[in-house]
Amino acid sequence: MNDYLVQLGRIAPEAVLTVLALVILTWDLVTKGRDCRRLAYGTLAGLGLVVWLLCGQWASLGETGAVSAFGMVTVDRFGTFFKLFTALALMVVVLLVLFDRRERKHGIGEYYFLLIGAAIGIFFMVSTNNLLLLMLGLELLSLASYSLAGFHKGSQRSAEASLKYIVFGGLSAGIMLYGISLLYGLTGTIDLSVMGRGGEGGYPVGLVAQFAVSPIPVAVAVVLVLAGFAYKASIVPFHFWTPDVYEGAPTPVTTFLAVASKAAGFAALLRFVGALFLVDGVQEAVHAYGARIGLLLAILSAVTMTLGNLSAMRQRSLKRLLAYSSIAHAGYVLMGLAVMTEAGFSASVFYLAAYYFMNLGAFAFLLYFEGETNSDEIDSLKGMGWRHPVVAWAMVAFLVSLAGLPPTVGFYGKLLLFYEGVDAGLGWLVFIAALNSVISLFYYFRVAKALFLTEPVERVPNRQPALTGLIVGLSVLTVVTGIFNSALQRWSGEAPRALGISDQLEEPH
Amino acid sequence: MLTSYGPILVLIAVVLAFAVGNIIISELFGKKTISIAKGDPYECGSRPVGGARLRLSIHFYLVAVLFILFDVESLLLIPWAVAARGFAGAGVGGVVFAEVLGFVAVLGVGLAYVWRKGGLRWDR
Amino acid sequence: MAELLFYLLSLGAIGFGIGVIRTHMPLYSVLSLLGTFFCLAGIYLLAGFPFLAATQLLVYAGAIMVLFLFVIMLLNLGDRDELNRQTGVALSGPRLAAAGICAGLLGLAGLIAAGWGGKVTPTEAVAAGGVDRLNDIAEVLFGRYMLPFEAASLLLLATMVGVMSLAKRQRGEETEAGDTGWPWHKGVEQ
Repeated sequence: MNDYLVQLGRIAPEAVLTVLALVILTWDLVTKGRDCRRLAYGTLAGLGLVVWLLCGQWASLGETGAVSAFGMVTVDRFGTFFKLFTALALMVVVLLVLFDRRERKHGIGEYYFLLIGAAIGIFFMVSTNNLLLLMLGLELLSLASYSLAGFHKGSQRSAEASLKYIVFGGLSAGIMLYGISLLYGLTGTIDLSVMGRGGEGGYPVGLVAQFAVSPIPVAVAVVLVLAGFAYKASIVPFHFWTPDVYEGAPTPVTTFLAVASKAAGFAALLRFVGALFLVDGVQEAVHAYGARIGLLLAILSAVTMTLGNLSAMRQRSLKRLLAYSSIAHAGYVLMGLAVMTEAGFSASVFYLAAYYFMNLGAFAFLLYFEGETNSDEIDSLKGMGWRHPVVAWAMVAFLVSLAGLPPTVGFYGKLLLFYEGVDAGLGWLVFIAALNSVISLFYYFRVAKALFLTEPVERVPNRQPALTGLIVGLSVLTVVTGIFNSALQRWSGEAPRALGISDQLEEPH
Repeated sequence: MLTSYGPILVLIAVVLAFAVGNIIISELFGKKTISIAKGDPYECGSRPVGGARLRLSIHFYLVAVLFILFDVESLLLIPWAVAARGFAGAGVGGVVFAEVLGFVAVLGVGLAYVWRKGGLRWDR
Repeated sequence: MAELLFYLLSLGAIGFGIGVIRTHMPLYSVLSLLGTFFCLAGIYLLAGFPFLAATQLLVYAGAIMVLFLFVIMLLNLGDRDELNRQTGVALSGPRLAAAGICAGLLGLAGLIAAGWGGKVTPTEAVAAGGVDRLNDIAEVLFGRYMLPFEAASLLLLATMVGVMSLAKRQRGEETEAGDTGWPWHKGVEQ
């Protein structure tokens, strides 16, 4: 019983989120849909408690410590890193829902509940080595996202977004489950750490040992599971849902999808690849096989970056442009994965953290701009820089960071990724990435040009002070972390290190 | 082990034979009259007005989805119903009961939500 | 005897599956799908998983088929050939691509079955026939897999809330006639 409570304590953040979700739902029921501001404040308070608990967990885990809860959830720094960022991003998204001028102010209790539910799914996804719990977390995130994407019932684009998301999501969930079932059939286990190094006495069979016996079925199974992850992370050729869903969904939901959902997909992918192909202490075959997976990921990365950037150039709508740019950024992050070393993973994690800041800010600006002009066309941005200078300069900071220019955190992230790429011999990929960064400059500065290089209009007083404050805060964070980023670098370095030995856990009860 | 399912096979065969057999027999041996009046659509004696296709309420879909969700819930509770006595015997009865209680409580909140929002009421 | 049954059921499942896509009325597709589910349930029974077979019939053939039927009823789907005549495409690029992918997958499956690329030997778990006595399932479900069990309840709850928010017109949403309802406030101070 005591042991049970200890294990429960280890998943305290998830438990608190579950209780928060139920409380929010009941509160919404009891107050019959009025008082949604109080719901938002309650959500923020609950998320603050979760952040505090996660910080406590981070501190109590050593640099490479990992404990297991119920044999399913692995509490280590890798998972805690992503959970922290998810919780903070969710707080920003809840603030965005509060500040969304075009959203109704009552009857949106489900909005908050579904966001928290999606966060619970993310928490399970990023901190488990068990493919079943991973699938459940992924499905929880997906189902909540389908409903969130279609939240604006009167809007045709929102309904279309939800429909496309459901169809693509259902298909990829099915493909991924098929891959997982094949992996189980081939190795006899669904625990990634056991699959990676093989059990005692040869059963369950380690994946690489099985590959020596039957390479094609193992390859097919791994590719199918990777396809599921690629769908979540918007990697080509599984990215087709991204532009339409991002464009049609309500802007705070798009923010959540582009930031938290995508990063969760990457975290799960990092864990999957790390547990299966980067196991230390196993024979040489792992490295040879891992190199092949690395090459596949490198090719996917190159294609994703290029397609994202080229498509973004032709967009008229800022929302769609940001959607394609997020696809391109997924390509950059994948570059760090393709390197297949711990330093490469660390660069990916750093870039994901940077990506959180930049994208949260860019989408917050989009929300501000939609509240002002009721449209998301870049043409409607013209001259806004003179009317709302503070926010516009903050957006320029985000654009500079997205394009990867100093002194922002985006620049430093790209620098790390390029360095790791060259270090691992993927020079061609780094060259393509650099070329893509130059291409992306074009469309990011088109937005900045529309903001400032048109005739100045008379200044209208600012009407959204809270949102402006949020945007400015994020932009300051973006620039400051670009210069003083040793702490972030250290943390993002520790996270993957925890992956390497998180296979050696205390025995579950 | 497989022979214990023999009766089910027999049941399926009998049911199919009965259903199909009835249709075939009525086709073969039934009296058939074809007249103009018999070919008209029937609507309780009066002439039918309007087309046959109606715009249906989305409530049908809602009911079906809610049924699936609660069906899966009861399916997951079946193993507990069968093994509860064994758990009590092994001393872990209380723990398992707490787990199942949590499961049902979460779904109970869901039921309350659906009920309150009028999901179980048929409007229009 | 069991082998003969297995081949019959597999042929049935594949045949019904082909029937789902080849038939021209949506209702016939649904009935073929039902046939597939029954054949699959039979295969599970043969493999020694009665609980799984019962689950398949209860959930798939019971609840999901009903959902399919309601959707067909709601959408008022008619004859597929009539739809094709209206839209005018019978053999188009996307269909050819889909057919190509299916052919490729089938070829790959056939090659794997023939043992190209290495023999796949059934692991001990599969050879042992699996765990299916309800007591054993309960032991595993409430012991090792307790967290996924609770996560499943959250999943069902999220689905309930999501479906209600999408399908039901709620009280906070009264709009004037002719208003699509979105956006609620056109960027003006409220």
